[in-house]
Amino acid sequence: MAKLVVSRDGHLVESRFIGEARIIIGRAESADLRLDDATVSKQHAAVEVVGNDHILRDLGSANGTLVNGQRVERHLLQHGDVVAIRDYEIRYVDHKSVVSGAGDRTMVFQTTDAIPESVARAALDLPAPAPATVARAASVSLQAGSLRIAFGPREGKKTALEHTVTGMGAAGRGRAAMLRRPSGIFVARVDGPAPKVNDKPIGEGWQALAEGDIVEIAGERYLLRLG
Amino acid sequence: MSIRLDVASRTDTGLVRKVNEDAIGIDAGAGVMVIADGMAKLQGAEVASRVAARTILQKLSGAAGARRLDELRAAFDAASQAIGERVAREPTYEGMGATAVAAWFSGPKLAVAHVGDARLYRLRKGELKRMTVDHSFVQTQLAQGRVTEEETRQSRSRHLVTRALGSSGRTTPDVAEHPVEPGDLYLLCTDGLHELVEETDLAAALAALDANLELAAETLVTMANDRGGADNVSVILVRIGEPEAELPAAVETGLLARLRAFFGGKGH
Repeated sequence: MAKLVVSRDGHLVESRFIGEARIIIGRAESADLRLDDATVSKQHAAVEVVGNDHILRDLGSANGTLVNGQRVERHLLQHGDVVAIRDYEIRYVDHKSVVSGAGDRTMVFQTTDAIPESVARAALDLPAPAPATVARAASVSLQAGSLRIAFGPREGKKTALEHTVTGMGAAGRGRAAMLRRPSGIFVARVDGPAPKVNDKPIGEGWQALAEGDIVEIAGERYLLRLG
Repeated sequence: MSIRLDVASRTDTGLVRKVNEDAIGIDAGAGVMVIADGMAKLQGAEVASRVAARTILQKLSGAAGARRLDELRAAFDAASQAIGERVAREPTYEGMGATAVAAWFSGPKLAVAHVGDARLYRLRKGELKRMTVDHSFVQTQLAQGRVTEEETRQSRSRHLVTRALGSSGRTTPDVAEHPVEPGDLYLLCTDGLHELVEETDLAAALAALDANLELAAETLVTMANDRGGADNVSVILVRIGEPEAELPAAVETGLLARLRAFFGGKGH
C-alpha cells in the first residue's frame, strides 16, 4: 500500500496511507492532509486515486507544487517521488512496486471493459512472477547531437537531432538516417549511395560516430557535434 | 489486379525477460500478418502466443476471403479454442492466453482484428495513426477522461487487458476494414514497443526508414531495448506497393515461392 511521508526541515511530521478516497492537501481545517503554514493554500493540492495509480494535482495554489524540483500541475506519482509544498517535503513511498515489480506483466480481467477498481487492485495483489528490476521509459537518456553543413554554399546550416531517428538525404541521390542511442550517435544507409564517414563509405546497418566526424550524405558534407 | 507488399519483421526477447513470449506469423502470399503476445498465470505464455499466431495464420491462409470480417472473427475464435484445448491437456497451462492483432491485405482494402493491447499503426504521408483501440484498463480510464495519454504509459495498471484469446472472459476481437493506398506503411506491434517508444518518435523513425524496411524493423527493436527493453518486442512492417498489371504465369510461380510462414525466431 502506498503512503505519503511528510516532513518539515528534516523532521517527520506525519505518515499517511493512501486508501480508496482522494486526499486533499492544504492549510484548511477540512483538508485531509493538513499543512499548517500561511504560505500553503487552503486547498493546495490533491492526490487522486485512479485504479492502482495515484495522480497528484495542484489545485491552483498560490505558491505551487513541485515534484522532484519541477513545478507540476499534474503528475502520476512514482515510488520515491519527492513532492515539495513550500517548507514541506512529502515523499511518495510505494513498497509494492519496489518489492514485487507488480504490474510488469500482462494480465487479463475476466469481466467487461468497465472494471471495478476494487477488482483492479485485487488482481495486482497477486504474487508477481516477474523479477523486481525493471527499467523504466523515464530512465532513458539518449545522446544529444547536431549536424552542421561543413562546406559549400549552405555552410553553417544546422540540423538538430530532435527525434530518436532523423532522416537525411534525398530519394535518388542517397538517403541515410541518424540514430540517437544511449551510447552515442549512429548513421546508416537507407537507400541509394552509401553515406561516407571521414571519406569512407559505410557498410550495412548502423555505424557509430564520434565528435567531429565528417558525414557525407547525398553530396552534402556535415560536421557532427555531440551534446 | 494485385498489389505488391513489402514485408519485414523482427521479434526479440528484450533485455529483462528470459523467454520470448511473443509470436509472429506471416503469409506474404495470402497477405496475412499476425502478432501475438502470450500471458500466463503459471506457465505457458509462449505456448499460448504460438498456438494463437499459428491458428490464426492457418485459418486465414486457407480462407476464401469472401467475408473477411467474419473469417477474422472465426479465426480468432479458433485460436481461443485451440488454447483451451492445450489447457485441457496440460493443467499447468491453466490461465494462459494471448493478445493478438491480425492484418489481412487483399486488393484495395485491409481487414484488421485485434484482442488486447497488440496494435496496428498506419503511416500515410508522414502521419502516424493508431488503427486499433486497446482493450485495456487504462484505455477505459482514458476514454473517461480520468487519466492522460502520457499517464497511461506510466500507469501501474498499463498491463491489465480486458480481453484476451483463451481467457474465460471476453475473447471477441474488434474487426474493421480500411482502404489502403500505395505508399502506406503499416506496423503491427506488441506492447513491448508502444509502451516504451513514444508515438512522435515512432512516426519520425518510420518516416525516415520507410525506404528500407529491414533496417526499420531492426531499428524499432533497438529503440525499445535502448529504453530498457523491459518486455519482449515484436514488429511486422508492411508497405503497400504500386498496383501491378496481371502477371505472367512464370512470375506467379516466383511470387508463390516467396510465400513464407514462420513462428517466433529472428527475422527471416
